[in-house]
Parts: sequence; C-alpha cells; structure tokens
Amino acid sequence: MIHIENLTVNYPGKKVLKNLNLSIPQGKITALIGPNGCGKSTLLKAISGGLKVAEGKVSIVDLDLSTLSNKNRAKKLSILPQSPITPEGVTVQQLVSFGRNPYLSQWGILSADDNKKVLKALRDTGLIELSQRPVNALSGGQRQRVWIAMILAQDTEYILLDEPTTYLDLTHQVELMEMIKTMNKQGKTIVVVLHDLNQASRYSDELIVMKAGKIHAQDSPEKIFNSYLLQDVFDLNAIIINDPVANKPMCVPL
Amino acid sequence: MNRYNKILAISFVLLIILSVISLSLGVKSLTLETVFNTVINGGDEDFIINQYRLPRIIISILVGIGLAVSGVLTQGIIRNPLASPDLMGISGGAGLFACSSLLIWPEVHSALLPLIAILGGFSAAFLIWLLNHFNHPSPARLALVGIAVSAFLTSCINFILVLHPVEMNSAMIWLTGSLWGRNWDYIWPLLPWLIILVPFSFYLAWSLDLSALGEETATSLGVNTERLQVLALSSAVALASVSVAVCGTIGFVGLLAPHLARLLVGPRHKLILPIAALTGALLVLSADTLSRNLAPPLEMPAGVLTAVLGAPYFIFLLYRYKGW
Repeated sequence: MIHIENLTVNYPGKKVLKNLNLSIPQGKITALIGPNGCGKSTLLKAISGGLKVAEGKVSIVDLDLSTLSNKNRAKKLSILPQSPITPEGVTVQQLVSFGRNPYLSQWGILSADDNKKVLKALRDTGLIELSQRPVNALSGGQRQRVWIAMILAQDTEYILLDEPTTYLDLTHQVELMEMIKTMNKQGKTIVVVLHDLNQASRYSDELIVMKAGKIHAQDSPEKIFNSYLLQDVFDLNAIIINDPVANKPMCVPL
Repeated sequence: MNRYNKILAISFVLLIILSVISLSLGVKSLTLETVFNTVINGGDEDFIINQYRLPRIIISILVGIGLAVSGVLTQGIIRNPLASPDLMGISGGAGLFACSSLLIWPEVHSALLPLIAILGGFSAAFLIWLLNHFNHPSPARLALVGIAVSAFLTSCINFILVLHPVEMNSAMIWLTGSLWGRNWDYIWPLLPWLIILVPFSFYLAWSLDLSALGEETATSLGVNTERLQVLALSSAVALASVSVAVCGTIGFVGLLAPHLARLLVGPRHKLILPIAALTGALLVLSADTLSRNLAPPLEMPAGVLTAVLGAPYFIFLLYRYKGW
C-alpha cells in the first residue's frame, strides 16, 4: 500500500500538486489518467523520489520513503520515465544489468545471482537473442521492452510507469500492456500513467482521475468511468459501451 | 585476446615506442643504443637523456593522463559532447591563479603551485555554476558560458601580464602550454594528485555509466546523483588544475582523448578510462616531441600543436552535434 499524505509539489512559480491525499492499493494495477498538465507525471515522480516535495509525505505501509537512502528506496520502488535517455552504444544486456544497481557495491560487480536475475528479465521480455545488440539500434517496441526488463531486474515490489505506450504502435501497445498484466499477476503492484482512456479502463483494477493538480475521482473503472466523468474532467462528449472482450467500460467520443 | 585488450596493448606499445623516439630525437639526436645505455648506466649523455628528456617525457605522459581523465569525468557528468575542462574555463581559472602567483611571488614553492591552481580551477567552476544556476543550461548555452568564462579569464591574465612586462615572456610561453625546461622537480608535486585521483575515477566508473541514463533514471536506480556530481567534478577540476600548474594550458586534450576512447571502446567508463588516459598521454607526448624537433633549437609550445589537432575536431563536433 502506498500512502500519500498532504503532498504538495511546486515548480518555479506554480503549484502543480496541492495537498494530495490518496492511497494506492497493494497488488493491483492502478492507472492514473487526466488531461495534459494535470500533474499525473509529477505525482509519479514525487512518489519515486525523483522530485523535490515541498510538503507532505509518501510512505509504503508505515515506512516514510524520505527516510530511506536512494539505494534502499530503489529496492522497494522502480520507475520507468516517459522518455528515458539511452546512452550511445549501450547493449541490451548492459542496460538491463543497470537494474541490479541497488544491490551492488560502488564498483558495480554483478554476482552470479545478479547475472541470473538479469538473464531471467531478458528471458521474460523475450530479449535473449537481442542481448548483445546496442539498444539504440532496436525498434521502439523492442526498446521499451528493454526498459521493462531493466525494471524487472531491479526486482521491486512497486513499479511505476509513465506513459509506457505513448510512442508505440497498437500491436506493441497491447504487447506491453499484457506484459504489465503478467508482472502484476506475479505479485507486483503497478501504478501506470496512461494517455489512452480505453486502455486505462481495460487494464486497470483501480482508476485515479486527476484534474488541475487534485484527485477528482478514485475507484474501479466499472464504478467511475462514465460519460459524466469524461465531460467533467476531459471536456469530452462520449458515450460508454461495454468492451466485449475485456468486459470493461469503454468510451466512444461523439 | 579480445578486441579491448588488443586496443589497450596497442596504445601501450605505441606510447613506449614514442617515448623511446622522443628520448633519441632533439637538438642532438642520439642512436637508440646510446639511449638505452644511458638510461641504464648513465655516461656522457646522462644530462641530455636522464636529466632533460626523460623527466620531460614522464611529465608529458602524466599531464596527458590527468587532462584525459579530467575530460572523461567532466563529460560523464555533464553529458555534453563539448564539455571539457579547458573549453569550460577550468584550465583558464587554474592558469590565472598560477600565473598571478608566479608574477607576484616568483620564488613560490613548486609544491604549492598545484594547490594555487586548484583554487583557481574551483573558482572558475564556481563562476560557471553561478552563471548556469539561474537558467537550465542547454549544451550550447553551457559551451557558450564556458567560452565566455575562458575569454574573461584570459583577459584577466593579459591584464596581469601588461602590469608585469618584464616577466611577460616566460609567462606567455607557459600559458600556451609548454614543457620547456621541465625537470624532475616538477614531477613530485604532480604525482601524488594523480596517484590518488586516477584510481578514484575508476571507483566512480560504474556510477558514471548509470549517470549517462540521465539524472532522473540514475536516481531511481539508487545512485546518489548529487554526491556523484560533486565527487566527479571536483576530481576533474583538481586533475585539470594540477596539469595546468605544471605546464600551462595544453588545450583540447581533455576534449579529444575521451571522445576517441569512447569511439574505440564504447560507453563503459571502466573501459574508457584506461584508453582515454593512454590517448591523452600519446597526444601530449607527440605534441611535445614535435615541438622540440620541428625547428630546433627553437621550441614551439606543445599547446599550439594540440590546438592544431583539437580545433578542427571541435568544429567537427559543433557541426555534427544536432542536439541544440
């Protein structure tokens, strides 16, 4: 369970998040949605510790995350940023092995056990054949899988993903969301920012809807994903139908 | 032998060959046989070989290693292809402080000079940090600020020189980077810094690999990025400054050597560091050997020769780098 109490984040001259209070349930997929600039990514970064928090507290169960060292926090919680930088020439295996950093000394020498975990992450994401290729030479879908593999190697209970499907074509979007579902089934708690509303409804157990730096609604998609919400938050005229495959609410804009 | 070990072995052998050539060439050229005999047994040419050329070669190598490692650390943190201690004004700051202390206090102890230069290097670094603090620096802006700071510091140096016209000549030679008249006395103030800071840079190598992913990702993987930045950049400033303290500003080595190493062996800092260090040593030693032999007995400052190589490469980088 991630608890967020009274969280306020400021960018120079602007309050992005205002006194947020929320809890993210254990063992589920939680999707964060909201219009551009509503503070979704900021919330994710604040949880992961990648951002200075002006006020408030983020804790996992009873553990205040600000009391942890970077390494100890990185053993609990991993994040895939929206557009991560791929250094020139880094191979797939090297990048995935970076995920083991929280468990390594300053010298960065991987033990046999670390290497086993890297290999498992490569296998689980279907990257074994590509492991010696430079990441920059891969396609967008493959590259995103490499970052997922890095996070798998990091082996944390909580995984945060910032718009992981945004730059992918539909096939690879589905592939990635299915991979996220598998990770969840293996016991990981997932928090994912999504742009595509139907994707969010389809894959999440819990929806958090944000608007202008505040939580507008939070519940299961079946309960809150309706035309009033879309009108209120996104200023979108849409009807809701039942997704015949996932049996979840799905919107069709008018 | 894998590819990396081959590259390492080749650079090492090249450095040995170049050192031997450099020992034999000069105003008075000597046969290889005389060179070997003199290094081992002394003899008639003891002064030329063991007191004049040998220390100078060792200093060239040490300075090359210092500048190159400083460049690797700077580029590793700033992730900017134009980042290097000399282009960013660090060497300028070290030069200004060292030069003014030499003019104001000519009999300054040679062990103190590196400390004074380091103070200058850190002052310049602080100035750049201050100028970039108020707006988020793009690679181009950072380079421009560095060039502006360099220009400002050079004008300060010129001002001081104009005030002391008598001492100006030797200071001018020193400022363009020259190893003229550098003997064993200059090695001892330099060596302890390198013995501490070069291994320390290996200690930072893995974190620098992670830091290439960007501050955000590195932090989320457990790297204490603030601490890493302070440690790596302080070491870089200190390494560049002590090199400047010994032989003035030999430009572009800190830019070229890390780029070449990266091109040869890829992105891992553990692998880049040795190759960059050897490349840096090769660059400075070739520049110094050429400077002694182009028009003997006259000498050209080695810094002029590295600039002949480095300036076109800098322009090439500006042209190729589209990430403005």
